[in-house]
Amino acid sequence: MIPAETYLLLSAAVFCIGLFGILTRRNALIFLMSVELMLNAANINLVAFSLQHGNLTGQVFSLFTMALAAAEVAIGIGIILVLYRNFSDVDVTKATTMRW
Amino acid sequence: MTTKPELQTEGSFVAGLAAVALFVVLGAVFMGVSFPTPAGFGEGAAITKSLGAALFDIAPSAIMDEGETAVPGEGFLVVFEIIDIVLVAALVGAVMLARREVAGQSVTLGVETKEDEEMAVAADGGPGGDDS
Repeated sequence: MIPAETYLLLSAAVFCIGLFGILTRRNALIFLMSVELMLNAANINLVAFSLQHGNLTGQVFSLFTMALAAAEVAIGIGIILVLYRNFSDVDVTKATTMRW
Repeated sequence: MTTKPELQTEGSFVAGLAAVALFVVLGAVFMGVSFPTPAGFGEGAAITKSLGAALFDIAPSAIMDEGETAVPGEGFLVVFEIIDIVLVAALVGAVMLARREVAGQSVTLGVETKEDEEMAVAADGGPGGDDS
């Protein structure tokens, strides 16, 4: 059986790829995809520890996280649509009117 | 002179070094720890059925066939219902954000306004309409 450390390493890699996307990109859609990667990294950990403890609670939690991610994407795409309508661009650095 | 395709990049990757550094730190930590052998679910464990039983908070033994064993878990019926409400709220929120109003009238994608109907359309679907 694959040890839990391997899953943790995979999860860290996926999380850091998401973080890399957020730190280096300016496109709002890529931002959204990067956030999804970070959420899915958490899911890998939940499922891995579910197997580690032989208990299903982690897998149920990961299902709920996926449902929350779907809700988040629905709102996120709506916000990006409004962003594009108001600024004719999806560059997150262009939308500065709400900045302090 | 021919040109080759180039990767389109935005800004610098310097900020991304923080993510790489985080991965190095996390990798070092994870490689340094050792977990006990995973307990696993055992042979003949009906994981999907047990998941369904946990989501609807019913006794797993009620839906198991012969030779199938239930995986331990908890009931999550209330959370399931809350997530249901959150998803509906998100759907309504997305529609509210995406709605566009022209002259006080709500316009949705794929629905033509009066202006669209009056506008001449060429045979190829573009603006115009002068087929002569």
